[in-house]
Amino acid sequence: MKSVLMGNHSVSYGVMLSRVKVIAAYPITPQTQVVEELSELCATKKLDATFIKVESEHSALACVLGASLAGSRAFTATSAQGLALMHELIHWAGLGRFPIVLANVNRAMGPGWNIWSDQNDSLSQRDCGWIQLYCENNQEVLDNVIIGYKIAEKVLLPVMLVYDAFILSHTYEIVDIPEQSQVDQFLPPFKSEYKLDVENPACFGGLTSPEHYYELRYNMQQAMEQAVEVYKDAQREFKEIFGRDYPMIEEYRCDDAQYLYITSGSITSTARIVVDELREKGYKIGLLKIKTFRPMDKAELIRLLKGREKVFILDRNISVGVGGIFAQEIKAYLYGQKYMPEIYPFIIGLGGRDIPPSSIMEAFNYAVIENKKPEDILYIGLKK
Amino acid sequence: MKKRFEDKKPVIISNFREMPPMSMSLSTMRWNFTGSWRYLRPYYDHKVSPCHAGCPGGQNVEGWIRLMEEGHYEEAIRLLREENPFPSITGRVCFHPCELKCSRAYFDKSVAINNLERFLADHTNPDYKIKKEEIAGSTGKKVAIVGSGPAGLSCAYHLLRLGYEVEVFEAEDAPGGVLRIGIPEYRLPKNILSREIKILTSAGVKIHTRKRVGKDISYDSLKNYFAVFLATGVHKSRRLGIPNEEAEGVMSGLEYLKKVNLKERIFTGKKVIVVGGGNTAMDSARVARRSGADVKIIYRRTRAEMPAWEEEIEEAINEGISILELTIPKKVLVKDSKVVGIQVQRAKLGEPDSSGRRKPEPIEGSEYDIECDMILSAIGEEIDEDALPEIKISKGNVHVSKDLSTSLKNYFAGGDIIDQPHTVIDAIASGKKAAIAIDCRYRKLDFEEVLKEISVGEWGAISMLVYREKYVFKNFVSPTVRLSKETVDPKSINTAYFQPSDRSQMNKISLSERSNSFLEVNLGLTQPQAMNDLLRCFHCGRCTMCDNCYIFCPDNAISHKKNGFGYDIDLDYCKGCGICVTECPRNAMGMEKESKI
Ligand SMILES: Cc1cc2nc3c(=O)[nH]c(=O)nc-3n(C[C@H](O)[C@H](O)[C@H](O)COP(=O)(O)OP(=O)(O)OC[C@H]3O[C@@H](n4cnc5c(N)ncnc54)[C@H](O)[C@@H]3O)c2cc1C
Ligand code: SF4
Ligand code: SF4
Repeated sequence: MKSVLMGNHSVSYGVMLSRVKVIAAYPITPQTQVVEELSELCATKKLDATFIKVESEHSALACVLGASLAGSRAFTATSAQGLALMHELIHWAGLGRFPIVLANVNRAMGPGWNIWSDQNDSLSQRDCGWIQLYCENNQEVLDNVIIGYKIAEKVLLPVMLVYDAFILSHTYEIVDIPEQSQVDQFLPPFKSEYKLDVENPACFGGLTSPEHYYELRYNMQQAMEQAVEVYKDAQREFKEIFGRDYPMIEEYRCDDAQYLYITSGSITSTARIVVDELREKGYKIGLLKIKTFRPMDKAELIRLLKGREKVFILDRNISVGVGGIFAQEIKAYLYGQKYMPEIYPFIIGLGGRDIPPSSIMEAFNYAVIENKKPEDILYIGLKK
Repeated sequence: MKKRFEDKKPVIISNFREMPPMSMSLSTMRWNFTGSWRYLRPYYDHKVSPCHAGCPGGQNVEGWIRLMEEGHYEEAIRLLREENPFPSITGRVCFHPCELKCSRAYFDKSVAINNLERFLADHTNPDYKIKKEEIAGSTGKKVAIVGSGPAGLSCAYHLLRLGYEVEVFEAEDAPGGVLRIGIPEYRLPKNILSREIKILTSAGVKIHTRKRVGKDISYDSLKNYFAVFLATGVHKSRRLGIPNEEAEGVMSGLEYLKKVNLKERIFTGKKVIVVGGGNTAMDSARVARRSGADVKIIYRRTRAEMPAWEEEIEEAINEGISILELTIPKKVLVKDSKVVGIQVQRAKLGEPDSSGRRKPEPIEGSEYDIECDMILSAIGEEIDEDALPEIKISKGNVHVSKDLSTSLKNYFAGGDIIDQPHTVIDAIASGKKAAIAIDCRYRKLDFEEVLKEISVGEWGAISMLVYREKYVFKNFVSPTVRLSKETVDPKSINTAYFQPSDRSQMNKISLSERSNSFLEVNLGLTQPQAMNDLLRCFHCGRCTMCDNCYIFCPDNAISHKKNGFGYDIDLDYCKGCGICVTECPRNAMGMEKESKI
């Protein structure tokens, strides 16, 4: 059924369709409507779930972890400082292998106190063992909640669903709300093998000696690597049922491209327009949209970049001291590979600064029209 | 998932494939005796609730509230009557010091204990009977009690249950003391009083009315009794000490109340002045008001210093009685030897006197006259030495030792004639204490030692139930016997677990219904109101099996007792973190040091 939904409500509907059993969340701008809608869905019994009111994000995630360990499909949502407050338990969720979904609205970290879009909040959690799914539009937001549970429950890693503050969270778009029966077909009830069970008691998250800790982390890395295939399988199945497709790395007009933009999140839509314009002018240019950040489909990335001339990576984030985080990751994957393009790492739109097509065009102008050399960090739109 | 090993020893894994995905125990964790980390140990306690210690009569308030909550009303009233024979009476007229101590008073408003007590008494079998098995084996001893007020009757009740033959001697036509002749019908209906007294007489207490000891029969005739308990009360009104006090129309408030209470014919004036600020003053004023008089109370100090119960003052004002504060009576104005008015003088408050209250100082030249045709003096009562045998008096009270024994051999005393607050529950408490002291003599027990064992909290309350179970029946069954010595500090209640809630307000009859009538003013709580206040009780210091400890213990060391009430702590695994104790909402747990081996 087609409907007009804001990004936040798209999440709520995804949660409802996934038949989540326990929700614990603390409201924060720009995530608040996710929680509001869910509490309403619970109150009106459209969703048969326990909604737990909590006093902080830390408690929210703690509740969700407890519920998950007890065998329930569980959900929480947050943003920026809220995510940061969860940090201790973000580790716990990852390292404890909890198959939960957390929706994070990308919002700039304060101070400078700021509520607008910026990827630093989610990316700063990248080492905690989470799968991160970046979304371009509201349809993708809704669908990815459902896909999120599918892969999380297969590989036993938590999934963070990531989408831009306001640009998606508060913007209404046409969204096709899937049929419950179809979702049920795609996403069977959560059956947890490792859970609290009075018949077979065990202690979870207890003291782990040097004797065993190392292997636990090794196994996690294996799970993250397997997640690539698990994601692809899930994707295929999703496409069969719903007709929509979200590849880990999506190509746009790449076939003969000499130049490529690499983007993530809602910037991608704007970049598509820029690519179209440049194609019209006769430039051989395309776009790669990075959908999953951890895991990265390394083989696919290398295949797609091989033989290109120049690549412009747009990072709406900055790891201070290094630069754009996507650029840093991608560069690392390419090290030692042959026939790799020149990488132009651009920082753009921090703290929600608007990114019109002209800003994205600047990257192309710099690298191609002006034919300048790449640097470690390049800045677009900096007031000089 | 693979069934985990039951081995009580740790499992070592030799390669990553055998590893579970997350850190989890592969055997049970029973090999890990976390109890060895402990240096403090939690324990369950049955502490003294503040209400229990705060009732001078030592009533286990929390205990009967709990029974009521569970719907066991008859058991609740039996528990209550272990300490206090007159719940229908105290439930109406007690000044409820217990409520001042109630932990809930420190949170929002105290539990309506007094109203609940009345509710319980009003909603249980009116033909209550003292059971045969309650009465201890006969001691073969007789005790005489002089005076049938609350002190005398309480002593009679407890002695009867301890196996004594009891005879009460009462000067008036009917028993009850102030309860009958002082407190008016609209506060304590006489049928309620008679019903409570009947419980005693039908169990064998003999009451001889119209027998003033020292007049109708001699004190000497009591010499064959094993003991005598004096509880003659204070009935001699203090004189005003102003000119023309003997005029017709001047009367003591207590005498006036007595006449009205005993339904004697009595003329009430049209304009009545009541002198005083105590309960007698309030009662006299409200009674006169009910007879249609215009009533003014004159008091030397201000309302804040009045010894009367605040609720009484409020009701007096509600009923249209005016209070003239800082007003000193100077002279009764007389015409044809009848009262026609009173001359008074204005005063201001000076330095505090020996009672701690600020002393009124007359203002020169501020005298004025008030017209009236009746003056009721109610400035206090004192003991009537004529009613007593030759006995040591100190500071206006009968002198008693710790065990309430007097200077006369085998004579004990209690109630208003000894140095204690003049209230019904204090009178009842002293009757009970004397009964124990007398029984200790019979059983050759050291009273002071016994007192240590049976005291409830540190404010002087004692428990008859504990006494009986420990020294008389010698069957330590009730939990009260295991009472710890610690009284719960309201600050120790974990109020995070409680929500503020309104205290029930009792309904009263309207003001128009009160004029010309002695209908009971307070209507008692309704069932929902009572339920509301029962549920407000924190159950201070007493486990309710709320399961908090059980839920919070991180080591699963706490389990439900297999058969029965309470929990077991598995000390092999309790690591002594104390979370259970912190999370107990009602301080029913404690931590103690592990003893050194
Ligand atoms: C008007 C008034 C209102 C009160 N209101 C309250 C109230 O609302 N709440 C409260 O808690 N307290 C109240 N009090 C105080 C309370 O009533 C007394 O503290 C309590 O009754 C004292 O009990 P008692 O047994 O010592 O003496 P009393 O109740 O005075 O009883 C003594 C009895 O002994 C009898 N007696 C005296 N001499 C002899 C003798 N020689 N031989 C035989 N019998 C004798 C008397 O006739 C009397 O019946 C009030 C007091 C008064 C005067
Ligand atoms: S007798 Fe008085 S003090 Fe004791 S419980 Fe009843 S109201 Fe409270
Ligand atoms: S809250 Fe209940 S147990 Fe605690 S003091 Fe008040 S009446 Fe007693």
